[in-house]
Amino acid sequence: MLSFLPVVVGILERGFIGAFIVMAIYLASRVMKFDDFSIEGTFGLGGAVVAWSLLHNTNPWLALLLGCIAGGISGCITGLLHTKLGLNKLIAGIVVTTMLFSVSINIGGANVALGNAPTVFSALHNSSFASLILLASMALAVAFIFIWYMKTESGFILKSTGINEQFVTSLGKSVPLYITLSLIMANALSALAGGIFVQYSGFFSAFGNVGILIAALAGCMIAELIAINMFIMALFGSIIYQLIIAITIELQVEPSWQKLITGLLIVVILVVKKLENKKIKGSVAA
Amino acid sequence: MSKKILALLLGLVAVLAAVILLKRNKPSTDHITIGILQTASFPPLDESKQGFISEIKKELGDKVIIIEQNAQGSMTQAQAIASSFKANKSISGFYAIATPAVQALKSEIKTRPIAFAAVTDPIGLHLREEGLNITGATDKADIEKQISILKILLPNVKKVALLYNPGETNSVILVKQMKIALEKYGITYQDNGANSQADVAAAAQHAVQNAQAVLIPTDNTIASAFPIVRQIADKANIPVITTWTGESEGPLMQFGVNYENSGVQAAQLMKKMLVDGIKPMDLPIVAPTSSIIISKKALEKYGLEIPDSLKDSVSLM
Repeated sequence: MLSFLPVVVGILERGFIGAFIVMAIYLASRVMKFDDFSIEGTFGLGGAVVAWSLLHNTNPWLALLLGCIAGGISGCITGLLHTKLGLNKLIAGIVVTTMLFSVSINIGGANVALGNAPTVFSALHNSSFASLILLASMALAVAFIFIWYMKTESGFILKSTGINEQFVTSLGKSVPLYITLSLIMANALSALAGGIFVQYSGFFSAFGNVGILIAALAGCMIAELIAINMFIMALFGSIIYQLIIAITIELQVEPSWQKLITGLLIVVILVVKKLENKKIKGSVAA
Repeated sequence: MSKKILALLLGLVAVLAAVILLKRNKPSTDHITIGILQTASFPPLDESKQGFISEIKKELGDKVIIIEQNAQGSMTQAQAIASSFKANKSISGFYAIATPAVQALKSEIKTRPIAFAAVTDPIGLHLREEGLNITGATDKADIEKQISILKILLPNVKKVALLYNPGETNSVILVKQMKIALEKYGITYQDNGANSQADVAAAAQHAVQNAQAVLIPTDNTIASAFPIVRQIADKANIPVITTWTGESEGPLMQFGVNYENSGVQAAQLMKKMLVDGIKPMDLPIVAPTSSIIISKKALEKYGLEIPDSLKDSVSLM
């Protein structure tokens, strides 16, 4: 059993980091009904900003904050492209992600190692559980902030914007403002995840964000399958996704099939959901 | 609802536990297990893997068990594999192919030895600092030599176009060295960046219009789209020089690292660490052997001849 525990710790750590992106996807795709591709780009941007900051002797927590701000600005640009220039949602995200690649490379470089620069984890190297506890508390704290925010007036209007824009307009609130706001928050979250991942793994790569979106989407769909409160479920969804990936690694599945497995996982979740819906409808009818 | 989550979580954890218990045999004394983490599937990386496996089997015989993993280009996947490796106590040494793989392993494995191949700049990546457990074979081509041969082969060239993806670390490092070497020989240069395979054609077009030769570093993006570069350069009658080998026809000169041999070198380092018990930091990083291939067809096409001084060091194709 000794070899089992570190695997689980690793799964939980990566699960908590992934949870921020799952929350970002949930906020953009589900709450705002805005499928934002730029979330993949801001993961890289956040990492690049954090890597640059750490190599310039910035406090690691401040570096994360800077990463978040950079992600927020990027989200704001995606929002403005859509609301002000009328660019299609998907295209706006793709345009921004494309631009972010250049921005990230110029900030962080194609691949840099942090070396001995202090990170939020470097003080905790003595205990194997300290990093996990730190990540868990960060993920929980962010989840609770969002749970609280959704109950405020601003959060309520934000939710309403995704459901019924006309209703929000009739309240005299600006729909573009709330769309942009949700994208700022989603992309700040993704950049935060990117920044944490860089500090966790000790290096930044311009290609580090490849496949983030699909992993987070799978996490988000698993979360919806078991939903009570989505922000808490984001943690579980992300962890369960990492669990499944860990199983495929342990099974030594031929790695070239792994992307197919992620895709199939999403299809399976959709099928399960469809079946559940039928069951509920069936019982109501009876 | 919470029952369902619990059931799902427990189910998955049980599967994981079962897999780990079944798949991982107890560390046996008469076997040596080696974990290989490959960053992605590219021909040079595959060659490094093949070279390593055949050499380590030759050195250690049937005693060696190999666990192969490939991150398929995903950094999070590389990290997940590294953490799975860390937990597998039966593995006594690790072989990392390309930069992200060695970085992921470095962050997880602190005590067991790691040998790498296909990494261009181990010093810049902080892989060789006090107390670390890493050594290996670089794939940094001898650019100085490459440019000196270029100058001998094409004495009339005044301007060279550099074609590469600015997003690849290896390319950026090599291009920097190429520029220094080119300046030394009084050749001017011009950058042509392609961020993805889709941009390669446009960048190559620009390159052939503005220079008398095209020089390409070890670049995965350009290498994967090389047929289009060859077409464009052929039409424009501009010779191409690559910093990798293995193209059947097209480049006037292919100057590259022998990746299979890099894998062999890494395997020898691994054997020294595992069998002879030498500490990784006491084993210096190994530089690659370069192979130079010159195309007969291209020589004819451009009316060139190989000077006698070069004849021994190059192979014709």
